[in-house]
Amino acid sequence: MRRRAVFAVAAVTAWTLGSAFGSVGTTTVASAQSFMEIGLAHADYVPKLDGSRPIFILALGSDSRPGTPVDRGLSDSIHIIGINLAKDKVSILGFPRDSFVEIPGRGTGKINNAMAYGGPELTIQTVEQLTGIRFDYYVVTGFVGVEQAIDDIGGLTIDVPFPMQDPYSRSDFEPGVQTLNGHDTLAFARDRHSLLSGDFGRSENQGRAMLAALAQLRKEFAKDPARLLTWVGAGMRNVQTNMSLEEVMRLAFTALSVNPKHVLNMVVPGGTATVGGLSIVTLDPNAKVLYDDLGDDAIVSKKNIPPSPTADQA
Amino acid sequence: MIIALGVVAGLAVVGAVLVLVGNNPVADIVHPSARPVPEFAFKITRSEPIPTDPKTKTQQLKGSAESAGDDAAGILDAFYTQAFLDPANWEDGNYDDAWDSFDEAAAAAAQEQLAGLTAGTTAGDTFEDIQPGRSVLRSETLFDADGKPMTISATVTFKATATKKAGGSTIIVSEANFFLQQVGGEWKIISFQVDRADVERAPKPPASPSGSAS
Repeated sequence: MRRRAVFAVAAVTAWTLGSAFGSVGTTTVASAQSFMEIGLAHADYVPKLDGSRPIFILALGSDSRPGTPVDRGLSDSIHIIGINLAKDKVSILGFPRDSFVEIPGRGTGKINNAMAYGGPELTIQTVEQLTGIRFDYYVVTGFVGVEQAIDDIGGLTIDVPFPMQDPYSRSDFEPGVQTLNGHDTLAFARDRHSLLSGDFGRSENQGRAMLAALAQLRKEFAKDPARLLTWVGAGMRNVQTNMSLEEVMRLAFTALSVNPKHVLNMVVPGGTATVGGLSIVTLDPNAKVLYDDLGDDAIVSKKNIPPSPTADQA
Repeated sequence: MIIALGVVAGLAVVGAVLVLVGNNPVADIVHPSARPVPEFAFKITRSEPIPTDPKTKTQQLKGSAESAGDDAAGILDAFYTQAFLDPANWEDGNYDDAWDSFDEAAAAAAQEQLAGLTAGTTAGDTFEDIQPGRSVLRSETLFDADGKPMTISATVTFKATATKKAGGSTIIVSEANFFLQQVGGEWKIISFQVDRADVERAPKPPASPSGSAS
């Protein structure tokens, strides 16, 4: 529960006087009486989730084009979102789409193939087998979903960390804080050619977009709490998930109490290789320590946080 | 008939005795709850639907959203009446009846934040009357995939004029948002964000002597 109550006395602004005065229907003119002060108080309550057990969500971005079910495309964006409810902390861990892993019942292959083979369920099995982390929920969206959801909330304000120009994803950004529409947000999230670290950096940028969304949601809620429903509506219309609407609402309320500064945005480290003509990513075998740490309480201790793949570029 | 006359006569005698023996007998025998409760209703300015099913058009849910907005308004009319306008509550500084429209967790939180949510625990010492002003409400309703209203957001501006015993008045201004969900088949407030910005108005100065007629 987030709660604060503040009392203060402040000077009366002409605007406040005008609105308060006029709307109660009094006919007294300002010069006839003196308006001394404004008493300010605040009360609030948000029904956030609590509990000692962390929540884990697998967030998937599909490459499916219109006409193909979004949950049967290649999952080119794969992120574990771990939420520690007791400490209001969140960890995001991205996987490069070309990560070469064991896919249950399918042998070894690129991690993004799992969804095309067996939907989000097989991707969940794959990531669970890889990391040992058990997922409570999954969320899948696609190109159209991202574009539409961002447009439905009126754009996403994001701090672009470095110049990005890429004809494939159509990204064209100077660094700095800017508000992107759905098309440009998608371009930001898809661009890997502008990034020195390729798919590793792209995965980190996708985490940056999630963080930007969290920061914006909190900011908008502070100004107009009703915006929470706009965001939930935009999300639900543009994703597939096994979460009920009630659960989404609870998580949305819970997200409000998470300071973006308390969110870790990480990517599993690894290297690139070629197998049978396929360009793949080999994940660092030491990442098991990272998975175990994350799976324990959704918080990764400092010594296990991998270096940012875009540290040299940002 | 005779019994009725007897009862009336008896009551008259008891009343007369009380009036004669007390220092301020009228104030003593008139309980605050006997004062009328001002009528109050928010003016609904907008009721918008928010679908979660991508195939559902907003227009299809317009009627249901208006109905949900009416439901929310009814609940908040009652809450603001209990929290600010019912003399039986503010004169005693006791707002126990106001939390019926909150779910359990929100009610518990609300009762710890009376300063923001009510006329206050000392309102009876300060005010002699509280009358509502023009107050407005807009609602947005989130619908589930079956077109059933799931969560209502009600954003309100409540205004009232509280006349002070010492002269002058306070214009009570409550800018607030409430989220409501169905709990046990009834809409209940599950979340609230309330900002108060009350304006103090000093007593009117005595009229200056008028000049002689010209």
